[in-house]
Amino acid sequence: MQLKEIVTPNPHGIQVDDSSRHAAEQMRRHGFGAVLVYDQELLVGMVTDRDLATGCMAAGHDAGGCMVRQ
Amino acid sequence: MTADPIPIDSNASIEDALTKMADAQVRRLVVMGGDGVAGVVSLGDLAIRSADSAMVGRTLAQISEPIRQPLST
Repeated sequence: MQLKEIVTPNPHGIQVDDSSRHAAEQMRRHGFGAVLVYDQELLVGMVTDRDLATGCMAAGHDAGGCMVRQ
Repeated sequence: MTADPIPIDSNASIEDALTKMADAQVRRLVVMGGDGVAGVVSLGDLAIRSADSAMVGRTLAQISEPIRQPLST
């Protein structure tokens, strides 16, 4: 079986200047644990639910108030 | 954000993806198709579809090994 048969389509993603709240909203809306991050059209990263917990909340920030680039 | 996610071709097999996850110690890969990004595949996706549950288990164990370089504080 090839990956194209089982891949979770996620073509839209979010922008690197979006907020962590927007990332979390996209995860909930689509039922994913991760969303792709773009700088304009260029794929630059991925943010996961774990990233929101360890990279934002654990650093003492409001859960929705971080920038995705962090 | 995790910068520079690991890509894999959409024609690759589940076993190829498991090997790549284990080597890179990541649970998700970006699947690349002919027109660019096709989507994301997770270890959970592979665990559901793989016929080789032992390989899935070994992959999870290798991903969960402590990383070789300490995290910066």
